[in-house]
Amino acid sequence: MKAVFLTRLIRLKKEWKSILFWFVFPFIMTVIVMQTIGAVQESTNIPIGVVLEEETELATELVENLEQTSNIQLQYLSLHSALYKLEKYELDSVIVIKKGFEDKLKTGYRNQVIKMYSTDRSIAPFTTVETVSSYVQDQASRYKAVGEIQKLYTKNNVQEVVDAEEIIEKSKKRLEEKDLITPMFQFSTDSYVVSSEQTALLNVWGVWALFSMLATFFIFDWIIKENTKAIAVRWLYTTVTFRWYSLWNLFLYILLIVAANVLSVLLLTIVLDVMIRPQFLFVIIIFSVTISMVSFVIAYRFTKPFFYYVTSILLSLLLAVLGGSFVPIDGLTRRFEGVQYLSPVHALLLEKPNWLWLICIAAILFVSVWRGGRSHASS
Amino acid sequence: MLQVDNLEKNYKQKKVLSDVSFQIEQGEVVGLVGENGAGKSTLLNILATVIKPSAGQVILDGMPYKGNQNAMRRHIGYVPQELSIWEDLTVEENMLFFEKLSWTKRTKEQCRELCLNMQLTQWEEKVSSLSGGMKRKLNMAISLLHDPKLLLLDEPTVGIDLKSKNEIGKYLVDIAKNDGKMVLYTSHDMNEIATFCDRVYVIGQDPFYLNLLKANDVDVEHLAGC
Repeated sequence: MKAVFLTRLIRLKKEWKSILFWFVFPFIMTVIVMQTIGAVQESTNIPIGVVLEEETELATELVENLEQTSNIQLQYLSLHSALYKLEKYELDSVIVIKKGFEDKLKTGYRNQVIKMYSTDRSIAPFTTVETVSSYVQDQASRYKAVGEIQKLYTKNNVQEVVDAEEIIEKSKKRLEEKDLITPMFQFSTDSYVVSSEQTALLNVWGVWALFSMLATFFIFDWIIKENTKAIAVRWLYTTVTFRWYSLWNLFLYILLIVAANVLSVLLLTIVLDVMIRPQFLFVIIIFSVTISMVSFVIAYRFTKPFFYYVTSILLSLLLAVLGGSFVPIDGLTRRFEGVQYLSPVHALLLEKPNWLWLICIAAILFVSVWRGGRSHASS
Repeated sequence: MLQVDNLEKNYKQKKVLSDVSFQIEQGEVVGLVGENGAGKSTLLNILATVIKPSAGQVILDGMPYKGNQNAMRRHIGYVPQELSIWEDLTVEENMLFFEKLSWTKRTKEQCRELCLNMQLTQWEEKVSSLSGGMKRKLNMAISLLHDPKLLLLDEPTVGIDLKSKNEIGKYLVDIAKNDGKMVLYTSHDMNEIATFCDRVYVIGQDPFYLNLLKANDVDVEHLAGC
């Protein structure tokens, strides 16, 4: 084993630049793709001017809610600038949060607290108007409810002091707990339910998985290069057969690839500001081991690097598409459960380890390398 | 001693080798010549344990090949006609790579000395920038790393200059006479064969090589061939 690692060091000393490139490739490509998509989305977002005549807690909360709305881009301006830009069609519409907004809401008054300006070309999405009006109604209703409770206390001569903020907070908490936004649908005739386990469109980890698979496939071209027809004869006169040599190297490469992938994922969480659970790192390890073994098994069957590279690119794309890297396949997996097992990427996107792929590829590795590997002495 | 008895090799219906018998003593340099397709490379491949014979037996120092292939390989050095070296590595890296995986351990200095003995001096040079003659020498040096008793060379001097040919030939004679190795090698250069070989075997039906070598007073013998 030591001898094999020493020989690997000789080769790595020569190939470190290319290996390093493939190690950072998934990270760099994921950042480029996600940033590019982000920039494109940004430029296609609808510009909406926001005029804050007061910066109270409720006004800020409304603006934060608006910022969560997709496909719009808020610009904070004075009324004068906002209306000037609107006239020039540089803004789609203008939302003015009027002075006295919070006071009016707190008294349950919800009329004329917001003013909206638009033009004949305005296409302000329905969701924006909905967000504003539903927020205003929500808050006004809450404060109205507080007022009603206060009235009831006075009417019944209850001496206890009513804490308006406490009632408001309790109301918000109840709303979150009831999960009104994500309802569960179930048809009486169907056995399946709509799961909350869903993958997003062009997931960061889906993009990363594609480039990680490509990099792993390209790293494993050493199997072909180090057992060419000309070199193969040398392995007859060495202490280890090529089979053992390649298996020990597989072990070494798995360690390196796992380390590189874990580091790459951690860096992506920082650069792209993505949250992950600690368990996700375990999923990444299982995924990296699986893909390394897949690459090994495939490379072992090839004699010409060119055909291996072409196969690698096609296979990576196929696994990424089947796994839902680009377009979610949740609908498909609900209808045909088996689809989720066609690619190890799907489990990665659901943040689950794919044991099935790992066990299957380990079995195939055993059969193809141990029993059916390229032999040297033929009869 | 290498003893070959009634060796045969068939590929499906085609007979490639038929009834080949000969022997090589310790310290001998033996040439193997014949026209293209006569079965020289097939015979070398069988002796190198790359392929198995259809019939007959091979015995090296009293140990038969059959059933002992892996053990026999420790005593065989095979220099294939195609260069079996890594072009992207240096001479040093090629030597050290295979030394790490060799049955015989050598220091870096000993590896270098092995190369110097056959006038391969560009130790730190990348193989891709070496001349054809130097590449052939490296191809041979790697095969000698585990200090084999029997050295089999498939046209080791093909396509190289006269000086390198001479250096390789002299080195083969040197390791046979001084280290007691058995050397069997094929070549199409009759001058080279006549100069460096103690004996020559001619394989195949064409009497051309046999007559040519006999005319030059070379100790030559005809193998049945195919």
